[in-house]
Amino acid sequence: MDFWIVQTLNGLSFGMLLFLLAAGLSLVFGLMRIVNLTHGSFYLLGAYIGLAVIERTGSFLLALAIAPLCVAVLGLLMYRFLLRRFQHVALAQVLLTFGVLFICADFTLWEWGGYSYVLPKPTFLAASLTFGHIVFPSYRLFVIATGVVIALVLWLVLERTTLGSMVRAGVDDEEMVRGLGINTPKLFTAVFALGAFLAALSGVIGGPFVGAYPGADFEVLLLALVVVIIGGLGSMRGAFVGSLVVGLLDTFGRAPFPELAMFTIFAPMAIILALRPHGLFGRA
Amino acid sequence: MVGGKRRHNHGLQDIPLKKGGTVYQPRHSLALAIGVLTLLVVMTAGIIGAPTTPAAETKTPIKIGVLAPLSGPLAVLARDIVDGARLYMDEVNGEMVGRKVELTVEDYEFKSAVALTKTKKLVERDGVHAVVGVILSAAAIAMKDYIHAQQVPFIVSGAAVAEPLMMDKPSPYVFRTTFSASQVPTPLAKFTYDKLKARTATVIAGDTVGTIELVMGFARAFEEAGGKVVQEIYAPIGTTDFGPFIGRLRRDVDVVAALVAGADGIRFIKQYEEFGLKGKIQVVDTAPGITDIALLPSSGPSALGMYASQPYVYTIDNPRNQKFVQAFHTKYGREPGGPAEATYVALAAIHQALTATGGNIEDKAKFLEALRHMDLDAPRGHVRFDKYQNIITDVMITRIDKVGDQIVPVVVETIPGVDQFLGMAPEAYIKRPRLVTLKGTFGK
Repeated sequence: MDFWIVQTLNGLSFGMLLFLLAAGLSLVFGLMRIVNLTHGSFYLLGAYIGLAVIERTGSFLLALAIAPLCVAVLGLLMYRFLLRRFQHVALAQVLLTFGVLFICADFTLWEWGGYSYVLPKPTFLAASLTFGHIVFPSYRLFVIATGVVIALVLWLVLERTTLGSMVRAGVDDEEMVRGLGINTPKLFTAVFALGAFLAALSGVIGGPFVGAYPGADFEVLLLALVVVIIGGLGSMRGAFVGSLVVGLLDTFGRAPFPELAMFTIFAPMAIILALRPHGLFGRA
Repeated sequence: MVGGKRRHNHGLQDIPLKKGGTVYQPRHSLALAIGVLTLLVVMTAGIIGAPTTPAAETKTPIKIGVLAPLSGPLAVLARDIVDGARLYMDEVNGEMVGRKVELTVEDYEFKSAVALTKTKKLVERDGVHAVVGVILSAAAIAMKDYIHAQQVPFIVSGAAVAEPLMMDKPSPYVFRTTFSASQVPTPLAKFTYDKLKARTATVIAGDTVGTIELVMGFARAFEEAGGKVVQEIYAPIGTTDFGPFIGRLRRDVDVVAALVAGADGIRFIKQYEEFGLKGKIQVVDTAPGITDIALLPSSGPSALGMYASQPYVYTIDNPRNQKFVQAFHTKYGREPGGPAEATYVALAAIHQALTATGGNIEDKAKFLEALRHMDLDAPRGHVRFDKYQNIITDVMITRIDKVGDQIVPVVVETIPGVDQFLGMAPEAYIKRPRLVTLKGTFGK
């Protein structure tokens, strides 16, 4: 029984981390119809910048605030000066994000070296909680809580605000939104920056147990892609459910069958794609 | 400025385009093409303009390739390989027997395929006379046939402890100054049974040949001593979240024998502590994984109280080692780990063989013969190669302790002159099944 509770909590914490990661990717795709491959780099940059902030100030919370903002600005600049030049040329945009992914990978390797860093945890979350026989790290509970809060905030913003309705309208029919006189380039820029913000946030939050190392950008990008494909591209609810599915599958599948670590994630993805080509919550 | 921009755009951006259409903006692609061309021209010019190699000296230099996984999960240990080699070069002023010696460092990114590619590059393009380094067993095994065909002496000095590397189809070109998978865990297993009084054990390791063999070496020796291995857990290399594995760990065992290397090791031992197991179930390191000196600054507090087994640790109390540690510390500001010393020994072995052959590394038969007779006063103590060209070495068992405010591996026992055949006749030992084939046979 203890085993199942601990593993479920493990799966949930990993799933929530994946949600933070995949939410931005899904949002950007939903609106702009491009798969932003730089998303993995935003994660890694977030983790590295977070590490730099912690090393200088010793404050995890400060890292949590500064790193995502820095990366959001980077995302903003990238959209404004690179992606917008190729508006509506989806292939060129995807290739461009792929190129920036490589540039970021080399830049981070150059700046931070080939080492694998684990971000130090904030002291108030360093301890473990004990319930009867079960010992569980409090940081992982914090990750679960953060994921739920961010999901709620995103849901509220998307469903209850004007900005949210503009985004949702943009997802449905971008031309019509433009026809209504809404400044879509500005909207796109904002959403792209938000996506970068969320990726960097997941980088800082994931830092203490996933860490920052060369190649993490590609690994998390792959996981995020699996999540949005399972959940349905562009659907926030899909990203949430997809993250939980992947997080739990990975946790329960990986330990008994380490040789099949990839299989336990990709096989369900293939099955879901075969049965529902647009993912669980995606629309044609 | 604004007017200029307008003119260039021809207002194209303001025309609504069909979603997903492929309307192109020729001016942009033209600008891009010109930009790329300019960049290419600049780069080519840079290459042409770069200084060419200095004129050949009367005696051609000896070139040694250093192969290390400078990026990837073991990057911290890789630094030890390069620094150990460079320290030796400093001590001999870049010269051996009157010939200049050049090191060429290559990063194999902790991937076997890359290791092979980089070896080919080192041999065919750089023309190295010998190769040292390599941590990943699979990489060393992948390189072996090529090394043999090209007749390039290769001294494994990172780790690459797998038994098949030296025992199956042994190559006269392959040497190893680290240790073999049975060599270091076996004394630890006896120690764990006799001194720590452990009777049941779980083994946990990274899922690759070298790390599997190390915990299997422990498991075999532990059962031979009278203990019982009740569970085997393997985590893929590069595992970030050990929660699922720690969740599966049986709570009723006396000891966890581990070999989780590099960054994975740091994450494992930290998460082991977070899940409340530190101090409840003793962890022993079957070889320097979690307790590797390069990792102690990160894993230190969580690793306190662990026991580990290794052929070299910087706290060995002898004058030769103190001199080495002092020099290493002065140059790099940290303590040398196993790969640093083993690579330093590899360079010293090459130096000794060169001295014996009058600096002639080109006569391979003579050079190999001299290398086989290595007889060195290494920092770890006196070392030689056995018939299968693997090092015969003392093995130290250490405990991670806090001395003052420093976290230090304290030597608690030294087992002198251990070879890879564990004292058996080589022919008899080689008939035993390879350790890697024992995977999955315990805990049934």
